[in-house]
Amino acid sequence: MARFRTVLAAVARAANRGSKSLWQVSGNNMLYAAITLMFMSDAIAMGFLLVLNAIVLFLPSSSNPLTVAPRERLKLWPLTAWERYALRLVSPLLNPLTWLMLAGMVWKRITWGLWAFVASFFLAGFIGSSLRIPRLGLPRIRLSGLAQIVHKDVRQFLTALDLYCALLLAGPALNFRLTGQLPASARVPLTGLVLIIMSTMALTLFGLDGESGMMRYRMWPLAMANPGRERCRVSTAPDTGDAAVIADGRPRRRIDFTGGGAMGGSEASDAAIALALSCQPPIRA
Amino acid sequence: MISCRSLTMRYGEFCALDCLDLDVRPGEILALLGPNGAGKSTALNLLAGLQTPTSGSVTIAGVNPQDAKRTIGVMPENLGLFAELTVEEHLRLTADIYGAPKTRIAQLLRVLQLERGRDTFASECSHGMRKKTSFAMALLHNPRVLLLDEPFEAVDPVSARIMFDLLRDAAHQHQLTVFLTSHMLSIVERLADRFALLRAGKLIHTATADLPEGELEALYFSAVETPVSERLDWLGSAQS
Repeated sequence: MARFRTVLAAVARAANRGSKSLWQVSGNNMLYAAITLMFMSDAIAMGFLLVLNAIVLFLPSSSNPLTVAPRERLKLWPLTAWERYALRLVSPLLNPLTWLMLAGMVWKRITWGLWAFVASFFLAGFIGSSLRIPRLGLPRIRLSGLAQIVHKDVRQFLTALDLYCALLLAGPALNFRLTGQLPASARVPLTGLVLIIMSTMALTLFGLDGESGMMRYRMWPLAMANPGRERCRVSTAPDTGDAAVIADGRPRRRIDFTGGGAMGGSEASDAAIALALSCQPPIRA
Repeated sequence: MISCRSLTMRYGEFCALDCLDLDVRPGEILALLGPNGAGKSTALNLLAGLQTPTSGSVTIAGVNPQDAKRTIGVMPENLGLFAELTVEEHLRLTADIYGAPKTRIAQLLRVLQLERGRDTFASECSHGMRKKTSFAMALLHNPRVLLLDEPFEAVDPVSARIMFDLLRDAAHQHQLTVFLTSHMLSIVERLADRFALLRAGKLIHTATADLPEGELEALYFSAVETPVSERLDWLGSAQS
């Protein structure tokens, strides 16, 4: 246990030094959406987003503070299997967002079913990290006629978890929409959710073009969103998220929602999305 | 002390290391040489237990690398440092994990000329300083086997000399086994007791240190890779 405490203390020290300000705290678009919905008193939607956040946080490739420890060093140290499991278990508690999320889940009294859902993903994260899963590399696709930067962006985009989550949500939503089963009140939140998920990685990619590229990308939901008030609401969604990652040049990871620090880098965007969404009356289940 | 038998590592179709058979005796310094992508770091990672071989076996002091973690000191390819810990904190952390005496920290800082930068975060250190920190971490717990990936790259000449003397003394006076990879032929020629030349994952040649001075480079060029003779066509002069 002494070794476990030593490593945990070092991880806490390193993570704390990397989080001297809100600008440095790991966050993602889902968190912003959850906070916004919390202020809208939409318990069901907020609970759902917090659950998604919990999954993101506890999955192996997530914003776990243990990632500040070099992977090789963790493998090289003579730690027992139990010490490694204990580190995985305890280290997420070093992230203030974990406490924020847990507090929200307790406060909003999410159902036992949702707790079980989170627990099952937590367990899957542990089992998944113990399995030897082949690493997913960049797909070697040839896209003739595209500029190199677009070529690279498309390849990276195809390896982002965000895209597949968005497809997972958008597929059934499209089906409900086409068959006329989607309630009108669910259209905007669902569109917003899809945009939020997609935008995290997309912003990172387009941000590589620099500030001008990012601004260009921020404009595209305007053309895609529904007419009227909804346009203003959904257009702010991609503006949050990884803006600070790009500005700070923090490392980004593939197959992961989180790109790093985003808490303070886009306050104006957060305020905008909160204001825009709060124009809508709370959605009741 | 180190024994590799038909050690093979494949990444899908690509074979990074092909049936490596190699033994390193206690107190011996073996330098693994080869061009970029030859499989040197893969071999070192397999010895350190950082990767599991596709086939074949490796033992360190008669046991699997996973069971020999206290026996080995490793300086991995990307050094394995916390960006937000200082040089001294890295050494304290290593001492705590391995139960090494703290007095060794101050001594290592002095010997490796890291004293002035002891409170510098790894993220703010020069590459050479980070190399020396990782080197100090590998040595701190008095291991029986040292595995070093490119220890002399980016290190200033004085520090390289210090590391050179430390390694030679540790191996020849204290029976420490050293396995290192390097491109610095002029240094390893004087340091190593034996050389293993690797090309495209295959061991193509081993040589002992009784080569005449400068002969290692000639051997490398003839056995591993011939220098490219084609000259680059320059696009005008620098002033145009």
